[in-house]
Parts: sequence; structure tokens; C-alpha cells
Amino acid sequence: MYYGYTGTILRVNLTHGEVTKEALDLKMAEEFVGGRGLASRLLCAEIDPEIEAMSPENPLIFGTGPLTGTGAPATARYVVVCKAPLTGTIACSNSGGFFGPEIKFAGYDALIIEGESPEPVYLWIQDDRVEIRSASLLWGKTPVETESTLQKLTHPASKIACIGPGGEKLSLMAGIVNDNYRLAARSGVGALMGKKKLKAIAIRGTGGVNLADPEQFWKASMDMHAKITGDPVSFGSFRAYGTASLVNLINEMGAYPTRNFQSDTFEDAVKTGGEAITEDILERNRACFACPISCTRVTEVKEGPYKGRGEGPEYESTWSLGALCGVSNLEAVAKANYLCGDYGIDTISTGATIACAMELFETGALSEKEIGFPLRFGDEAAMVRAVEMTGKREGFGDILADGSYRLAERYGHPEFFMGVKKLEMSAYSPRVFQGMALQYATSNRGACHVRGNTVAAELYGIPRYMPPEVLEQKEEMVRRPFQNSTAFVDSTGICLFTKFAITHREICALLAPATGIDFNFDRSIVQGDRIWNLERMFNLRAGFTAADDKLPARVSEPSPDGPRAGSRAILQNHIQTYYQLRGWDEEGRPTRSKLKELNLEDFWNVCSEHD
Amino acid sequence: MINVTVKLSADLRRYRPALRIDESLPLSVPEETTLLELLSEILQIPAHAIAIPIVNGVKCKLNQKLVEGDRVAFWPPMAGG
Amino acid sequence: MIMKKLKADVIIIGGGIVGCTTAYNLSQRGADVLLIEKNGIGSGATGRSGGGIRQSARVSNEIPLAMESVALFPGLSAELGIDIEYTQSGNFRLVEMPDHLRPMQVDVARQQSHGLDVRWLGVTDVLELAPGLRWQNIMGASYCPDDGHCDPFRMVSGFFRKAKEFGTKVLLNSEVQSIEQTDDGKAVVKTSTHSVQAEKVIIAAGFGSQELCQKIGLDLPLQNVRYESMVTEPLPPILSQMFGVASSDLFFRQTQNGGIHFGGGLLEEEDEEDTKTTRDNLNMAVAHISRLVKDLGKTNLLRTWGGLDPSTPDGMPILDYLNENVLLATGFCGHGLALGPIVGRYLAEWISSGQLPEALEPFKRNRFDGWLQTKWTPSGAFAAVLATEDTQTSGRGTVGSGIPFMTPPEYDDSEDEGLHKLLSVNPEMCTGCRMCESACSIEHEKMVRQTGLRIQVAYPSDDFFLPIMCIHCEEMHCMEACVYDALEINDYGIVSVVDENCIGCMLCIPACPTGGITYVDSKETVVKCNLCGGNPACAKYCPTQAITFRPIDDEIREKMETVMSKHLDSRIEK
Repeated sequence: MYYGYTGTILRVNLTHGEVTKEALDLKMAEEFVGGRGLASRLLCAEIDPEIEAMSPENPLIFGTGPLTGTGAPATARYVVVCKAPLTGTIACSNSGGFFGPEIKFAGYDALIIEGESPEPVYLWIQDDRVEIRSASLLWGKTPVETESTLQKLTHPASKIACIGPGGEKLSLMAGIVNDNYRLAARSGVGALMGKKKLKAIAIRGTGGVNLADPEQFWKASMDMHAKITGDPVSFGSFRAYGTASLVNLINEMGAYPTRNFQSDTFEDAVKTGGEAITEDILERNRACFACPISCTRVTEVKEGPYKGRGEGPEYESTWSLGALCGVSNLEAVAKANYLCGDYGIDTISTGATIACAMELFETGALSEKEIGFPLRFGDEAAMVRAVEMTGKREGFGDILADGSYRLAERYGHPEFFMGVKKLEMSAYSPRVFQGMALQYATSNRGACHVRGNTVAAELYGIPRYMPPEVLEQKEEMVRRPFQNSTAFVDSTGICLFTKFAITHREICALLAPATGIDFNFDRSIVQGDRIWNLERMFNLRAGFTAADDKLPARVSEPSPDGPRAGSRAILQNHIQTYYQLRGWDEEGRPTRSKLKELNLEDFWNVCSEHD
Repeated sequence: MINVTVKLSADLRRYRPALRIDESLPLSVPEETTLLELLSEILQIPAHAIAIPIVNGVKCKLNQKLVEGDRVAFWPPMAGG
Repeated sequence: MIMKKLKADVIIIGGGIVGCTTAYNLSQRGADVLLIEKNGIGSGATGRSGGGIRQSARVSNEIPLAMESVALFPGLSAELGIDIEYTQSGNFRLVEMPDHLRPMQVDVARQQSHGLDVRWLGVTDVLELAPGLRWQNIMGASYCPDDGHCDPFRMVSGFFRKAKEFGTKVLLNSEVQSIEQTDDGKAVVKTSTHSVQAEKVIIAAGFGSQELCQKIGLDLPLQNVRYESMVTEPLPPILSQMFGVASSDLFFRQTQNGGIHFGGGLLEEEDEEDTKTTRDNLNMAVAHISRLVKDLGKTNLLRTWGGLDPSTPDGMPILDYLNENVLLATGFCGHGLALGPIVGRYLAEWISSGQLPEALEPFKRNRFDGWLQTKWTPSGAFAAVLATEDTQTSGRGTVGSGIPFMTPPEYDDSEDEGLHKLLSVNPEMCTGCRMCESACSIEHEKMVRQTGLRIQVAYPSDDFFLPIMCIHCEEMHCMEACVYDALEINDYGIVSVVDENCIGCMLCIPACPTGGITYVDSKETVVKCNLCGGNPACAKYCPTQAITFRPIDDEIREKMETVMSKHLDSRIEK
């Protein structure tokens, strides 16, 4: 009998149409927890990281954590792991909603999708019955259409994860959409799903998640529930203004990247901020599975050229489609955000790519003829049009759909790409938040804000306040309380947003009674470290080196204006200090003793020569 | 007297409901006024409602003294992603 | 003596500025108004006032109303057809002592923060604007350029005459003896000569108001503050603005005929209700103004008088209903003249629409609930800066106005006789998180699942979520449908399943109007809510209070039944 875990991994081979079930290796689960950790570990056992990302050998792994679906607060997350089509690094995108818990209710800890189907198919999983069905009816449909059609074709209550037209057309910015509007967005996981011709996965689970000690578990869960509902951030500002409440704050700090990172202050930020969203387009809040926070914003633009309905825009989306493109019209930003949802593409990368194209256009590297229309910063209609073309891969959109790295390279200005390891940065300027600079540079999936959101310490003071402008002593902060901790939290199945109200210890207090395994605080620290190192080894084996741990040159130049004019990303020697703290050599490779300590020696020979 | 501007965001806006979201309050305050005095005596907002006080883009403590031209912005507890 | 009987729509008690502006506005709207005044028009605080029309040096909650009122003044002379001698020349609040310097500067900033154009001026700037002042004793001043002053008598009689033109009837020299409510919801006001019946009564009797309130059994924290005023013989123009002094009651202005009208400062506490003047108080005021204004040494005083300001603890009036018929408008703390025009307008709006105008929200009397009558002194001058804001920022739903569904409304948790506590659902509050399902399944199944549950959240659309369960209706069709005695009812009317008897025939499921009964495959029986033996887990763990466990009546139950059965289709258990 398994507790917390369901004990089964479902393997579907699309090339041969085979479905097999494997038992979960509990020892592996104990080392890698679940979710991000376990799925990454499974991936490393499946492939050699050197393979082509868009090849049939690259499996798509849907993983859940031991807490996913247990009903403890905010236990809704599932992850998608593969070798990333956009970046070539290891990919781990995650999403909430109700799809993750449904995987558990159907009886699986993870789904491994291998091979490639010749025809569009979808997967229909009803508890232990698994069918691969033709998706010819669904191909070309948006996620919302796909979900309603599939619920008719399968079960009215089945939960759906699918790709939109962006994923079908192999846009490297495509994500996987579940519950209509939620995206496991980054790294291009949707492109791989599209390559496999897998339109959707529909799941209906009638089982449940067993708990080793239900009473203790529920007690711990309710303690957490009380902490979250008593917290002014989780239960206050997130509910009242959503994540976008940050827009004005970060802009006030002069850390809100604007016009493809040419500036760090957006003069019209307030028009696209959380307060404006709440006042102008908010319909109501909704929640993911078992979540008291309910930060999701159901919004609607009721009329005009940007009419539409959906969820969001969230902080990152309102930034990438707004400030980063110089756009201050909230309705246009909301529309672009809805369109990204309809096409199933990542809002951050989409906005960043359009911003990059805008800069290319304004500097003359890209002509109006090539794009088909002038694409200037601040032109909201052009921005929305570019999103639409990107989603459809129409005309110039065909080039945009592969992300800003390839776009900037193609037009001879690689310096206009604002990201790390081909993944675009997010809405915290590394010129101001030095911790974020280090985190962007060293993150395993490229520049990303949810691999270690040091802004928590550098602004809100969680766990303790460290001024954003200094990097001294932040290496350890980036490493442990942020990167490693996030790796652990992502592996449990609980949402990162609970972390403003609760700590690691409380998550561990849930894990033990849920699983019956002795998960505790001390082990969680090692587990986080282990997961991070495993991802690093994957990347090293895939060909990444210390030279890839670097920020775009632009952010090392002084910020031109705003309250933080003159500040810039300092990094410099701090990367070496960070490597040392991690137990890596100066090439950024884990030492043999470090791997031994983490019990990771069995993997490819990527560790340091000298010890 | 020194001139400063004050911005109230998110939940704090209920203390000045008439203020538009893109508006900041222009105030002239006595020299040496601290942020705490600004809050308690002038704006009459309880200090515990403030989590993040920002002056000219820099988070600071409530005992900081204001100087001419300061851009003050107050935030309640908040975070995002 | 035979009482004369009259009828009116509205009776206004008090012929001061508030009574007259209200009568003017109401009768302009066509109401039948009767104004009753104890003495003569403007014979109370209005006629004895200093004539200042200011927005500055107000408590925060009064600033918006004062700003709205001052905006009306420039048009008043034309509107009333009488020159009220309004001069919008600004208001100074002078600072004489170093101790008052900083508090005054802080107060200027406080007023600025409410959008008022008020500034701090150093002594040179003050002298430039008001050369009639003596610089030696002044350190600076707050200055509000939009403030000013007018002639109180001209103003009040202007409103009075217009009100009469619009049809207001008047009883002068008539003291009200009683205010009573009739059985048919009307009010009767009696004087020694008249008995008048009306829908509404407005008490705007200034310092006589408290006695009237006590007549209808209410004791409000109103207190009369004495002041004394005087006016000099006409002088050539030396001052155009209105002046006040920090931490002092002294005020002064020059009237249009040239007399310096000043007053304030009380040295001796005479009898509270006394309107006589005293030599000591006058001497002090004269000495004080002589320190501040040039060349007054040889000027003669023409006239002196005393007055009473009805005041409240927080320096703001009370504008609120005392019962269904009687509306109180008093306690203006000396601000009645400036606020009069706008208050009259809003009171008329309130009476005719029945809706409390938003602008009058801060002036309700319940702000003094629990106030100890004996423990306050009326607020003086600019020190009247009160923290009027609620200082709580609670974790739960701390939000401003206009944000939907975030703050759970309070519900009455009292143990209501004759009502059982039952589950009540408010779908507007539900965020669709399904915490209730988890709580229910752990409570009853010791595991988390989402099928075979006693409660289930339906998702008819992306913005409407509805927890569905047994609502313990009185009809109990399920019990009628069951032929195996598998449903039993306890003393509280709660139906639960007897597992041994249930054979899983599912006859009860279609019988239930809300869809509150579920068949469980693994058990081969049905399950339904039994309120967890009196402490339902779903209500306990609902983060938004969409589900509550409380006494509910048939009406709520019916409403729930309607909404649940309407969405029965979206409940998808096959």
C-alpha cells in the first residue's frame, strides 16, 4: 500500500501505441521527493542529454508530487519535464488547476510519454483504462474548445491538458494548457507535445490518495490553512489585487524592465498594474484545487477591439506584453494575454520576443517589409497583431514563434536577446536585484523567476531582508533558501505561493504523515540540493558550460534612468563564490565528493576531473 | 518646509479613496519629518498597515528623515510572481 | 388655549443657517415645509458667528464636505438675490510661538494630503499678503487661498427669504415643547400654540438641540462651547482675509463697512448656557488682537456679544436620523456657516430620496456609540486632529471598495430559537477550490478523493461555482423513496444512511431535489451528508465562508434548493 504516492508510473509509447505501467521505486521517491525532482530523475534514466530535444527519443514526463491532490492547502501542482525544445537545458514547467490532482486520483504518480505518433492523437485515461485516440477532430482547436469537446468525447468531469495551435505548429515558446487557461508555459514543452502529435491528455480519476496518518496529516494541513488565511500577503494582496499588484511596486523601485530592458522604469506602469486590472476588467477570483489563496483572476474586456475573456494577465504577463513592449493599454495587454492562452504559448517569451523584434525594427535591423507592418515600442495594435501571427506562425510570426534568441541571432544582433541559456528573463531587473542577477545566470532552465525568487528577500524581507543592491553574501542565499528550497517545494506538489505564509518545516510536517516516509527538514535541504545538482549535471552533459552562466551584456551597463539610474548587474566574481558554495569547480562542474555526498555518482561522467 | 510626493497603493488607497491610481499627493512637510511622522501625524495611517516604505526607489526604514523632493511610496504587505 | 392644528411634509426646528438652507432646498424641490424658530432668524449661533468660510483647519473627514460647500459660495449672492458680502480672500492661521510651529506645519501637510490647497507661509510671505499685521509677534501661518468670509446675517436671511418665496411656512417665537411619533408612522411637533403633523422632522436647533434630543430619549455627546465676540468702529481697509490663531480661539476679520470683527478667547468659564459677555474675556481678546494687528490702540468698540457653539467630541456635526421620523443636524462646532449651503442641499436630498448621501456617511451618530458623556472636552481650534480611521488591517480580506467577493460578509451566528444550524451555501463567495470536498473525504473516508462524496462542487461556468450537498429539506423525498429503511432521521431532523440496510438501489438519488445523495461504487451503498455529527468539516475549512454552518430559515433553504436544483445537470455523477 502506497501513501501519498499512488505507486504507479504510466508509460505510453506513441510510436508503437503501447501502454505499460511500472511500479514507483520508493527509494528513488525518497531521494527525489516527487514532482520536479522525481520527474527529472526519471528523465535522466530515460535519455542521454545530448539528444536532439525535438526528437522522438525525448520523452515528455508529467509528474506529480506526494502532496498533489491531498487536499492540503494549494496542493494542485503538476510538472512537465523533458529536454527543453527552446533552450536545450532540462525543462521543468509546472502548473496548477485541477489536472495534477486528477492524475493522482486516476492512480498515477507520473506519466511518461515516449515516441511520436504519426497522426494527431489524444490520450484518454480513465483510472486504469488508457486509450490512445485519434485527435483529428481536435487539431487546430484552442484549449478552451479542446476542453469542451473532449469533455463531451470522454467524461464531462474529465480534466484536460492540451496544446493550442502554437504547440501544434511547434512554436518553441509553446506551453501545455490545462483547465482552459493555465499554462505549464516555459521552455517550449508544448512544442515537444506537438512534435509527438499529442493534442491532449484527458484524465478522469475516481480513486483517491491514501494518507499514512490521516489525522496527523489533516491537523498539519489545517495549521497551514490557518497560517495562509491569516497572512496579509497570501490571503490579502494576492486575493485583492492578484500577482499584478507588484507592478507599481517594482516600477517604483526602478526595477521594472521596459522596452526590451532598455530602461528599468515604465512611465505608464500604473495603467497595466494590479489596481487597474481589479478596477477595470476583473470579474472575480477563482481557485486551484484546495487553495485558499485563490489568486486567479477571471477577467473580461467587454467591448471594443480587444474584447475577450479569460484569466489574468498575471504580473509577468502584464509586464512582458505591456512594459517590455512599451504598451500601456490594459485592454490590449489583456487581449494579447488571452490570445497567448488561445494559442497555448508562453506570455513571457512571447512578449519578450516581440519586444526584441521591436528593438530590431527601431534600430533598422528589421524592415517593415519583412514584418508586414511597422512594429514600434508602444504600438499596442501592432503588438496584439504580432501575438496573433506568432500563435498562428503566420508570415513573420513564423520567425517570432521560435523565441527571441533565434530572432536576435538571425538578424545579427544577438545582444538584443535578453535572457540566459536562450530563455528570456522575467520582470525583475537584474540591474537592481543583484540576487536575481545571480539567480538568472545560474538557473538550470535559463533566466527564470520561479527557480529562486530572491525578490522575496530583497524586497519583502522573507526570510530576512537583504538590500537589493548588494551581492555580497547573497551567493549562499541564492543557493540554499531560494534555488534548493524551490527545487524541493516544486517536488512536493504544493504551490510556491504558499511560501509567503509558511516555511519548509511546515511542508515537511505534511509530507511525513502523508507518505509515512521520514521526510524532515534536514533531509529536505539535501533533497533540494540533490535535485538542483541533478539538473545541473543534465545541462553539463547536454553541452552547457560555465560560459553559459552569464547575463546579457546590456544589464551589466548602467540603468539609464529612473530612481535607480546607474545601477547595473555586478555578478563578476560572485559566480565563482557561488560555485564554491555549491561544491563545484571553477568550470561549474560538481566535484566527485559533492556527488558522492548527494548520492548522484551513477550519472554521466560530467563531474570535475580534480577533486 | 520641504516638498515631497506620496503615493498610496493597493489596499492603502482606502485611506484616500478620492486619489486616482496614477496620482501622487504633493505635500509640503516640516524639515526633519520622518516617514513615521508622515504616516501617523500627516496621513494618519497606522504604521502597521505599511510593509514596504519606498523613498526614491529604495526600501527604507520608517525612522528615515525626508528631504526636499523625496518621492515616497507606501505599500501594504504584498508579493507576487 | 385652543391648539391650532397644522400639517406639513417636513418640519424644521431651528431658524439658523442649517435650518434655513434645508428649508430653502426642500421647498425648492416642492416639499411642504414648516420652519419653527424659538426666537428670530439667525438669533442663535449663526448670527453670533465670526463669519469665516473656510475649508482649512478642519478634521480630515470634514474636509471633503467643506470643499464642496465653499465651491457653492461664489454663486450665492446671485442665487439668493442679496449681497452676502462674501470675500474669497483666503484664511490665515497664524503661529505666534515656536512650540506651535512644527505641529502647524504637520497639520498643513495633513490637510494637503486630503487634496486641499493649503500652504505654509513664512512671516515675510504672510506680511506681503496681509500688510496690516504686526510682524514682531508672528512666526508664520498656514494659508488657504480659497477660504474667505461673509456676513452671517445677510447670508441666513437670504436663504430664509428664498425659502419663503418657495413656500416655506414659518412659526417664529415658538418654542417646541414635544416631538412625538404617532401610530401611523408620522411625527407630531407641539408648541404652546400649535400641533403640527409631518412625515419628517429635522432638528437643527443649534445649542437647543440637545434638549430636544433628550425629549425623545436620546443623550448624544453634545456640549455647548461659549465664546465672545465684538466689533469695532469702521476703519479704513487694513485686512482682507479671515484670520485664526494656532492653539487659540482668537479670530478676526474686517467687515465690508470697515469694522474689525473679532472674538474667541475665553478666560473665565461662566455658566455654560450664558450668552452674556465679561470684561475679563473682552480685555484678553483685545490685548491679543492688539499684538497681532497694527494700530488698533485708539479704536473704539461698538458692540459685544456672546454665543454658544454646539460641539461634539471629534469636531464634526452629527447628521443622522434619531428615529424613523426625526433627523438631527447639529453639533457643527462653529463650522455651520461654512457647511450650511452644502448640508442643506444634502439633507434635502436625503429626505426626498430616502437614501443617505455618500458625502454624509462620516457624520452618523453611531460613531459615538459607547462614548462616555463625561469624558470629553470639545475640540478647540486646530488641535482637533483626531485619528478617525479604523486602524485595523486584518488578514482576512483587507480590501478597499469595489473589489468583488473578497471580504466575507458577517453573518449572525446567534443561536436562534426554533432554527437548527444547517449548512448554508453562498455561491458568490465560492472560488471553486474544492477544499470542502477534501475536508469531507478525509473526515469520512480517511483519504482524499473527489468522487463518491457527500459534497461536490459544480462548475456550471468559469465564474460560477456551487457546492452541492444535502440541504436537509423538510419534505424528505429521499425517505419516501427508500423502501429498505436505509435512511433514518434523528431528533434534529437530520437524515442519514443506515449502511447495513442500504442495498444500493439508488431510488433515493433521483428523489433528491438538490442532488445531495451519491452512490459509491466501492461500498455499493449511497452516502449523504450527516453534518459530521454537528461540526461539519466542509464549513470549518471553507476558506471564503461560502459554506457556513448556522441557523437558517425556510426562505434560505428554499433559495438554496432552487439554485442547486437548477444546476443539478452540472453535477456529474453517473
